Amino acid sequence: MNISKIANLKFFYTRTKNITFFLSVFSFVLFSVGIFWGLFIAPEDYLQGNSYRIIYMHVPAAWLSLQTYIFMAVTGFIALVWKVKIMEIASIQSAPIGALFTIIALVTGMIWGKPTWGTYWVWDARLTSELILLFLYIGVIALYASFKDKRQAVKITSLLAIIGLINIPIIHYSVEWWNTLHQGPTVTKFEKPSAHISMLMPLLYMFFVFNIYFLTVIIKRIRLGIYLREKNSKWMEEYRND
Amino acid sequence: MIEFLDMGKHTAFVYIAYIFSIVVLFIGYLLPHFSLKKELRNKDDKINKKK
Repeated sequence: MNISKIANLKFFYTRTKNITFFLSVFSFVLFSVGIFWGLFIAPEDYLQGNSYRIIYMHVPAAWLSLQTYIFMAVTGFIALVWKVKIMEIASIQSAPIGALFTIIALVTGMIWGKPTWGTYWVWDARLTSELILLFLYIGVIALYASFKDKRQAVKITSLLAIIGLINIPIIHYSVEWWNTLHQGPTVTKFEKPSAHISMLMPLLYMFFVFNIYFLTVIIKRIRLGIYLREKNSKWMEEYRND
Repeated sequence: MIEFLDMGKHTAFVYIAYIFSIVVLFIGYLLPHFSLKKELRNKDDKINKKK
């Protein structure tokens, strides 16, 4: 199966209906296991007690908020340069998912911050740059909604997404570049992670689960985007009549 | 059971964070699902009205 075939709107729309169903069930089962693992099997932290369990939602959501932004910018770039329709749809449809991940990262971080730091919010570099990421996502969604010509809209939102990429290394390295209340890297120090393996494994597992969730939802959203764009086309009517 | 679910003094924080995340993820999943269904229904209604 070659890439040009997958990039074909008709091919993607007609072939992914069953895939989303299986991915949805798969995500649900994986999430159930991950939540149970994080809440009840992973050991209690000697310093933070049980509040650290929030990281099993917070950290994967934060990673995915960055990953989704990169996805949005890269697909936007491909759409801009090579005018691939499915990439236009993928770029704009990934923005709401990224916004949700960012909201989860920010809110769970605030909930974790209260018992750990004694405050819900501080204007330190990591928290502020993550909040800017949320504004970038909202900006992309609002900009797209404000245009009548959706193909023109994608060109503008792709540009905004590419410019906003500058925020990604700022978020990632903010804890090293500035003195922040937010802790430094824990997991990405691959040669010697600060977390014990019994705490690290559920975290990496949840990262995998969040990726499966992203895959499920992005396919669902691309199908929605294809339908909105092609609902009056001949092939769509033929497919629906079958 | 309550003892099993107990997270000490951080019980409320942990469960609120988890419930919030699950609800948001669920909304994120259901939104495109029902939006597509609604669009398909609207199209069918239009076709039926024409008939």
